[in-house]
Amino acid sequence: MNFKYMAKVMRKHKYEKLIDDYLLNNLNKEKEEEFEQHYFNCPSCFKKLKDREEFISIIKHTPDLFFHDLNLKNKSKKELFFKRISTLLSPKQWAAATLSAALLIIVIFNILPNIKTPSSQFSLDSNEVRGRSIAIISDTAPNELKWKSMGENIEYNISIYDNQLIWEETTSENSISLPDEVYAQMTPGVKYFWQVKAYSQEGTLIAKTSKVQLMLVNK
Amino acid sequence: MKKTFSQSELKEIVKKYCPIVSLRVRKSLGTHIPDWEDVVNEIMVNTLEKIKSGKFRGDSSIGTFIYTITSRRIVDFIRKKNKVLQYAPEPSSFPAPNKNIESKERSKFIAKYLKNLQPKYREIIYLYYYKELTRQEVAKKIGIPPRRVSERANYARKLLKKMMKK
Repeated sequence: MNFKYMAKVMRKHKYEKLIDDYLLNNLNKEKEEEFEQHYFNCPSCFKKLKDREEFISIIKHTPDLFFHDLNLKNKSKKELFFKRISTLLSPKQWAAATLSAALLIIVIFNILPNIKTPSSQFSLDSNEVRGRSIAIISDTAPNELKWKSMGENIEYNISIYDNQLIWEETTSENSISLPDEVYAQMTPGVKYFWQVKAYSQEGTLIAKTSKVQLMLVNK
Repeated sequence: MKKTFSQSELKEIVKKYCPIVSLRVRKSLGTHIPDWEDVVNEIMVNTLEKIKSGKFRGDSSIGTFIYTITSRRIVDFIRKKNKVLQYAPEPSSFPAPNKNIESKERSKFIAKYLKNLQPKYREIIYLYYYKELTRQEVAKKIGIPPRRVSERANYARKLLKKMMKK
C-alpha cells in the first residue's frame, strides 16, 4: 500500500468536506484562508467547488422552480422526537438505555432535592462582527440578547450552540429573553455561541451574524 | 532562481487561473459590486507583469503566488470602498449565475432535473443551501441526526448528477 498516496487522498477528502461551509460563509478566517490556498493549487477541488457554487447559485436565484410544492410546515415536536429517537438506537441499545434511565431516576429522586442550583448570569465577552450586516449590540443586562434591528417585517432566528444546537427561537423583535430551560441546560464557565439570522417576509435569508461567544458566569 | 515562461505558457496560466481568481473575487466582493470583473482583470494583468519581471522565483507554487496577489488586491479594494462609504461592507449576497447564454442554458438544464428529485431530497437542499440553516438546525427540523444531514445533501447531489448523465 502506498502511504503517500493514502495521505494525499485523506487530505483531499478533508478539503472536499469544507466546500459547503466555505460557500455558505461558515468557516473561520483561518480555515477559510487555508481552503482558499488549497483550491488555488488543487484543480480537482476547484472543479468541485465551482460546480457547487453554480448549483447553490441556481437554487438561490430561482427557488420557485424547485420548492413551490414542498410541504415545509414544522412537524410536531412529538413526532420529531420519536422519529429521531427511533433511528438513533438498535433494540439492544434500547434495552440498555431503559435500564440506565431507571437507575438514573432512582439517583435523581434520592439525591437531587438536597442540592440547590446556583443562580447565574450571562456575560458577553466578545461582540465582534465580521463584516456581516446585523450588528450585535453587546448586552450587559443578564437574560436578554439584543441585535440591531433591520427594519419592519423581518423575522429573526436566534440559535444557541455548544457543539450542537441547544436552543432556537424565532421572533420579529430585535431582542429576546432566554427562558429558564436554556439556563438549565448551560454549564457555567463553558463557552457557548449565539447567532442571529434575519429572514424577509418571503422567508429569504437576508443576513446572518457570525457566531458570538456567550458564557454563563456564577454569581 | 529566476524562472522564465514562454508566451504560450503565460497564456496557459491565464486560462487556468482566471476562473479560480474570478470565484475568489466573486465570493469576497459579491456580484452586486459592478467592478468585480475589473478587479479580476487587474489581478491577471498584475500577475503577468510580476512573472515577466521575474518576481515569481518558484519558492512557492504558482497557485500560491497568484493566491497571494489576489488576496492582497481584495483587501485593498475593500479598504478603499470602506473609506468612501464610511461603514462596514454589506455581506456579499450569493453570486448571481453568469449572464452569458451558455450558463443560462446550463441552469435551465439543472433546474429541469432538480424539479424531479424526491421531496425528501429537495427539502434538505431547500433548508441547507437555500435557507442556510446549520446542520443541527436542519436535523432538528426534519428529525434526523445531524451527521445524516451532510450525507443526505451529498446523496441528493449525487442523484441529481446521475439523472443528468442519463
